Amino acid sequence: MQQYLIAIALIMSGGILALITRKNRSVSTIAGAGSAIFGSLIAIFPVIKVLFYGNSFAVFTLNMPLGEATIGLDVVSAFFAVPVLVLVPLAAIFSGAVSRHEKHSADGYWFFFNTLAAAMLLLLVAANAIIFLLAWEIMSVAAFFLITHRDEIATARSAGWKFFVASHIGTAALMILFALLGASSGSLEFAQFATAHLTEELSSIAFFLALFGFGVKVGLLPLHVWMPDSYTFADAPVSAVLSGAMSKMGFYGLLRILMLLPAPAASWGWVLVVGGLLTGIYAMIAALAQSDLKKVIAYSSMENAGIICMAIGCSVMAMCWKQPVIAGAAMVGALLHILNHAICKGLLFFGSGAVYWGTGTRKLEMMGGLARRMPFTAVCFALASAAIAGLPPFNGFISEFIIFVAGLQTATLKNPQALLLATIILGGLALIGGLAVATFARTFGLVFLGAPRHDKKREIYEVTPLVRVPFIILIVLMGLITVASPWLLKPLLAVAGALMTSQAGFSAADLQGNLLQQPVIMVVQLSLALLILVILGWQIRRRLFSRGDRSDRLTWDCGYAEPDARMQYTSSSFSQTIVDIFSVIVRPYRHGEKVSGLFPRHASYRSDAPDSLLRYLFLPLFGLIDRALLPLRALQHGRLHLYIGYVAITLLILLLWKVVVI
Amino acid sequence: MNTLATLLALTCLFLLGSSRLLVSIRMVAFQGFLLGILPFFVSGSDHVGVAAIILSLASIGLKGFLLPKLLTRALFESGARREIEPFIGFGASMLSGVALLAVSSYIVNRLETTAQIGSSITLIAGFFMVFSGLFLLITRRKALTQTLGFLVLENGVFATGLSLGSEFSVFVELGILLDVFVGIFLMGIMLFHIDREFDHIDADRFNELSDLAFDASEDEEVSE
Repeated sequence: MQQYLIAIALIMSGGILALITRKNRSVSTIAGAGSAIFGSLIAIFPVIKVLFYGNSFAVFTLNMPLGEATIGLDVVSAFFAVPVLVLVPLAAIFSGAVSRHEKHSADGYWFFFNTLAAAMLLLLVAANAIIFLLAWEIMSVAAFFLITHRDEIATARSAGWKFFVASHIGTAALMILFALLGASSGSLEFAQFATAHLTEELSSIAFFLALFGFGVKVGLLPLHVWMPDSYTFADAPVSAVLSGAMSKMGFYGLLRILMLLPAPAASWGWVLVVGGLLTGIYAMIAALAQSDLKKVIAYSSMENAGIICMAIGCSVMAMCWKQPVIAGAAMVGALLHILNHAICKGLLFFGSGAVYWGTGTRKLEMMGGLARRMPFTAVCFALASAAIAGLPPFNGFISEFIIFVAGLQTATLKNPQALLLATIILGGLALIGGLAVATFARTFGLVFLGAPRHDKKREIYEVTPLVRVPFIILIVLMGLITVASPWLLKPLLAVAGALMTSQAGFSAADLQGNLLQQPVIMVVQLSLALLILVILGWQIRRRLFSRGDRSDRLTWDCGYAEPDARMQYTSSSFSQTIVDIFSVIVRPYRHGEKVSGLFPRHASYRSDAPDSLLRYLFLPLFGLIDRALLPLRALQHGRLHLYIGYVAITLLILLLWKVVVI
Repeated sequence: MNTLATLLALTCLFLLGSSRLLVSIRMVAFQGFLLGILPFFVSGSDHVGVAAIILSLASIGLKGFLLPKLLTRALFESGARREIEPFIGFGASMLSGVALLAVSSYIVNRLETTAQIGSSITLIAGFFMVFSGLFLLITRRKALTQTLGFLVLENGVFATGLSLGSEFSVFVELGILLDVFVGIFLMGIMLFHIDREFDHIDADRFNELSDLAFDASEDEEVSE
């Protein structure tokens, strides 16, 4: 525990040092990135001890000015610390290595980066509502400043404001939640919350408040509007941390509150499952219509949040029905998916950063053919895409497989509701998975394959060796999780057990991990076999049948006399069929005219798809609120007299009230 | 002591009803003088120490002579003689003053049941002075009258402190006195400058400077 706290202090002090030395870029980078890396390395030891050896650390009691507060590291905190401790140092390496070549200033970047990291680590050990909210707010504010780091760009500022507003509305819900729990238990300690005797309605209210407050960070369907823009305009390593680690804090909070509330009701599970399903489908459809590389990746994080939510919902339902095996399997699937998503999303965002660094643009329309110039990035991006879309030989498949197993086991229950749940989970996962494959096939193809569309004069360089380090580490971790997943089940089951013992009464033994271990081992074996087969086939083809290959032609050559890069699929045309099917939801903008006749004149076509919920729900809603509150503007009129009058009247009323009350 | 307190309350009522700035300044000066001799009457003559004498002298010197002189100069410089068109008329102001007096005596009556109070009449006068100071600040247009209102408010705080009669109050009062002196001094200097820049010292027209007047037009958006 001390090590963990020392790590937080080290990261924070590194950030402050970076702020002081911000005039000197290299010193500032070394202070900021170095402390983030070393702090994470220090903190990983207690986390591993808790996670793998089941050590639980003594709870620390801090003497705060207004009473005592405790912090403690248990298995759940330790599990959620893993994505933070993996992504923060890697993002620091990436950012530090790239920033040496950048021109714009790094003012405050490392300060807010390290603050974000330290706040997340503090949040995870907080066992007191005040410290939790404090860390939560510091985290949000630091993230806001990181998103608006490039504040000379107007859209980056507006993205930052969207995040700020969304996150504060969420925090308001959390404050009400903790006030509610505090009032009914008489203390702000988490340990006391668990002993509060909440009525059924009250605990439902508490759950939905938590879902709203944490759902904003996670990116559940109507609350995701900040996500695409924020991830797009933050620097790539920051996006990786925000998506892989910070938005996972939302799941941490949700699970923590679930732990503290009494036994869950079935309605909670339904809301989670249906909400997750809609989130996943909506996100993937929207991703298909995007023409910005990072927006596609951002929507994909929303999709994975949907999958995780569905799995948690399934687990909650199983807890209601007293089915420990299903509850355990679904929760393990959700946890493993959180880990996998953090790693793959880190790779994808780093990859997008490398692409942006190479080409200077994020527009899919301007890329293409990068695989020849950036083979390393292309391979990493391809692996991460396959993994995040849940394709077999990778880690993403294993976690989705475990969720599938949970869904299949649900179908065996003699209960019509369970059958419906199984249908939603199996069908939903299949649909989301299919759309995800389409999305990432499109993204990878447009960026790395085909003929280059970008400015021919611009030289594109592969990333430097130092920038490759985080990619390689993440790829190794990906392989490690894939191969070692049967052994990872034990600590994951311990986490799942800790999440369920208090309200559902399941112990870790009830979850029967060995039932899960067998199929997972089989999947890993098959995956490895598939991998070997693919490599073997590739080698055979290369060595034996590659004589007739021509690699000096354009990809979409097709025997034309004058092939042109404009003849290939564009980002809009690739996904047009799918987007057309769902155009009710996506509502893309289309500009351009139809080409007709034998010798058509110059024609152009463009389509874009801003978030339809933002356009049709939130902008009108906030416009309405704005208009409703317009009369209050009259209170701020700039008249000194009346301002003093407000103060005087307030003071008089307070004085009279106090006097009359006594 | 009660006589002094009553006189203080009366000066406030007079201030609320007077339109002539010069007379108002003199009235505030008189109030300062009254406050200056108030410490001698607080709790018998056995308490009068060096500190009380210094306090009294400083109060008379500052509030009775120096600040009024400064304000009078500001008045002559600006050329304004009368308070024109206050937000609340002079008659209505006096009536409100009476209401405020009633409110303050009600508050003091309620307070008496719970707290130890040296002199209730002085406390009423103190509260009343605070309220009428605020009232002047709110309802008058000229920045000079507002300065007077601020001064009256501070006098009220001074009187309230004295009527609660603790031993440390003398030193606290000295501190407040210094604050007030600096505050009024700055206000006086500012009045000159405001008068020069705006050609008037009407505080209700200061919002010409407000940024709400011309809504921020952010056209300098830099797109990527």
